Amino acid sequence: MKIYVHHKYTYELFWYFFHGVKVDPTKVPVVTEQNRYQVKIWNSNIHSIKAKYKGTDLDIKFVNDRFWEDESAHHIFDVTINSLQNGLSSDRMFILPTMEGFKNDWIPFLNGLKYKVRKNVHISWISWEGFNLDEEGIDVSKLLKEDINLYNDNVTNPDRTKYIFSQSFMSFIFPDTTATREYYFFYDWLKLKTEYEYKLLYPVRRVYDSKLYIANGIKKDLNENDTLITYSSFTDSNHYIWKHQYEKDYNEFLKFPNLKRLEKRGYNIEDFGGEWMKNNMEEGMWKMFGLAEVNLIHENPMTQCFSEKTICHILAGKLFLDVHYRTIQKIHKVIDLLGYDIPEYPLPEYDDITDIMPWLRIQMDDEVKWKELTSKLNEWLEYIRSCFLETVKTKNSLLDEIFPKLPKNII
Amino acid sequence: MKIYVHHYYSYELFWYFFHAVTPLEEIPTWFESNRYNKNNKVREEVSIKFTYKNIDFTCIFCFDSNWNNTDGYHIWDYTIHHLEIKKISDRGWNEHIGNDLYDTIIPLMNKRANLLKDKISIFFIDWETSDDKITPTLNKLLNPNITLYKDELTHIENNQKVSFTHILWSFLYPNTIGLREYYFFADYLKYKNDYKYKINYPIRRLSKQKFEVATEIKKFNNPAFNVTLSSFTNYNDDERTQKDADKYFTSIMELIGNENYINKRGYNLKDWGAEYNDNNMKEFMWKLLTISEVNLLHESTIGYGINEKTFSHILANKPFIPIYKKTLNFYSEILKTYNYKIKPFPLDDLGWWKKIYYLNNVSKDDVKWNILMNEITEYVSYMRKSLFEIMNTHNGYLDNLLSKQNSTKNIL
Repeated sequence: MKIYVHHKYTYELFWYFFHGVKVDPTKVPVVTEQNRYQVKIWNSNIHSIKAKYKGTDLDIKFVNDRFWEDESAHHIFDVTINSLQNGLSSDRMFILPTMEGFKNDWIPFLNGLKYKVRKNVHISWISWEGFNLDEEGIDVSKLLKEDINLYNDNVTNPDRTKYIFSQSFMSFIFPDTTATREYYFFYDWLKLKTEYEYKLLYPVRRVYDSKLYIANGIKKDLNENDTLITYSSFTDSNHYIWKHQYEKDYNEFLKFPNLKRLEKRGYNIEDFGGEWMKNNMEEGMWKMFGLAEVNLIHENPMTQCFSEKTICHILAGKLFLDVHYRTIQKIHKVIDLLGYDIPEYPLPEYDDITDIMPWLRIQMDDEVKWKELTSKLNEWLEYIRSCFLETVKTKNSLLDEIFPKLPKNII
Repeated sequence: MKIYVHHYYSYELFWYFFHAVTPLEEIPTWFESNRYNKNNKVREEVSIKFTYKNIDFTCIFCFDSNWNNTDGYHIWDYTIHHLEIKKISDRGWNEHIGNDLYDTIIPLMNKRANLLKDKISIFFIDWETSDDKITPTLNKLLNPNITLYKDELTHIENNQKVSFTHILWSFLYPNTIGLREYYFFADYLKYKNDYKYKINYPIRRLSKQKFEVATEIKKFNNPAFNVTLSSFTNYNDDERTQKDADKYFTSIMELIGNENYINKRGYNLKDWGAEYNDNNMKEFMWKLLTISEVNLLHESTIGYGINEKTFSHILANKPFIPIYKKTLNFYSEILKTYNYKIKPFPLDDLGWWKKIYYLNNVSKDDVKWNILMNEITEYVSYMRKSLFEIMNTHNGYLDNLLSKQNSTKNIL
């Protein structure tokens, strides 16, 4: 099967698109004439790699903008990678420039391809933001012709867009734009740390109303000796666009007793720089994972995708609870989709975590119960981690979607 | 005092050039030009006020403009320039380094020095202290009014200086090879106490010398003394390394066994990619600091400079033993310059063969081994603490500027 990847080549992109295939890693090229003296160069020459997936031979070619007219190949294009390669962004997060670049430059071009090509065109937009591709203002699934295949990282979609787990997961790893891959290796080291000053950490980067609500719940029900709330210096910097909108909440927030301000802009080596995702993830790993046994993370309950918050905890094997049970349900749903048994979760079901804070207090006050809870939480987390990692080692969601489209005589 | 920095602004470059100062305003990070892409050049001119040793300064990051302003000092860094024009991605060895000196850089800087006289400084820090071509070229052809800051303690002639603090900070900012992470890694490395070996001799690029050392170590048949070899050494595309690798590869593999072959090109998440300095340093941190209590390092700077091998270990607070006798002299020079007590390294008076034999013996005696490990650990911790104190409180370039100012005043 011939597959054209319409991006410039790097070995990281090979793994992002083609994890799970059978290939000798040393046959995945790394050094070329273009990048020999400059690691950051995206290679624009054609790169061919042979691999096998589920018994089928793959003839993979990274061709950048060439060969779009070929009717015999599958054509892969990733909206965010395009944005990265054109310098519109430096990680997956910023939607606006990425979306505008795609709408203006690519949608008219893709729609103009022949039908025989279009049906083999596979467009993925993995953004970690959870918007639907038919959402007003996004409109990508409406603007792109129906026969072009669309994929994203939303576990459920209201339109024709399909969820691809393995690429969604690998997008946090390769290309390694946000240093999330480091959390995978951090796992071996984090488990060596057994003594923590606090049992539970609620890390807040930006203070706003719903964070204040949870912090109030912590103040009301949990023992302040066991619990720490941190907030990032970013929240009162001029870069925080909602700074004035949430000023009242911020002032309230500052009254909490068990509060610690994390200075992102430390002196010299302690300066973690600007509010780019990579800087935040590096700060998170080195400065926030060593504070408490368990982190209480605050994912957006409305989104259907995973963000770097959940994924970095899973990669590092760092115990976490989520403010909303929906995140846990989302994880279980994916585990089910991947064909694994859904594990038992050691906490009772809740809407938001304040519902069970009295219960949590009982566990935290009793060392035996707390040990039992964290041990079960660890078991749950290890299971999730191993399911996710095993999947990206052996399966490829995009290829699984592409394969059924092959005529039977080719298979 | 005004200092024109002829580079595109980044907060990392601010710290590289002006570490140890007291900023009088926030050090900016975000601009219109880099908000969505942190790798974009900041095309705005950026001024920051700071004090250093009670003197007020303003630094102006102004890339290629303002070269005609005679109201301040001008600085330019050769490697940063090549990073900016995307010829290179870190300071280490690179084919492009040095090629443009003769025809482009030196004539251009000499021309600028005609106007600016002694108000111009160039940093030439390439982590390659053994080059025998570049330094003499600079010595011979660069206008002697220009102050050249270099990273080697040899051939210091004319108006040349060594700013120890800039050399040290060059490994951290801009953080092109992931060395800054070693500093934070120290917080977790300290918890590890179940190493498989006492000593490991990690080889990345196999050479005759390293093969001989490895052979000698393996002759001891000492289970505490290990040798690892990176798969890079068998990397056929690199002619430079392949000659030695071909010659010794089979023999060394017989000695060390497959379990000590560090496969850089793993599957998927475990693929560390190509032989770039940043890939190597990341791989080393996560994989090779875990093997033994102490690493036996083959750094070939012999005291005239340093490279990332020893400094990464100091940053991570990881015990190490340099194979050469004088490797640590450079660090001693730094301590001496800033009036810190020099701590002797326990094995530094031993040549490399004697050192290896000594290590073999001492690793078989737990009491002696623990004493040695304590001494090495103390040395590394002392060095880490002292170097960071120096790096946070001194700035070699600014010190030189201030002393120049004072001497000028005296003359006047």
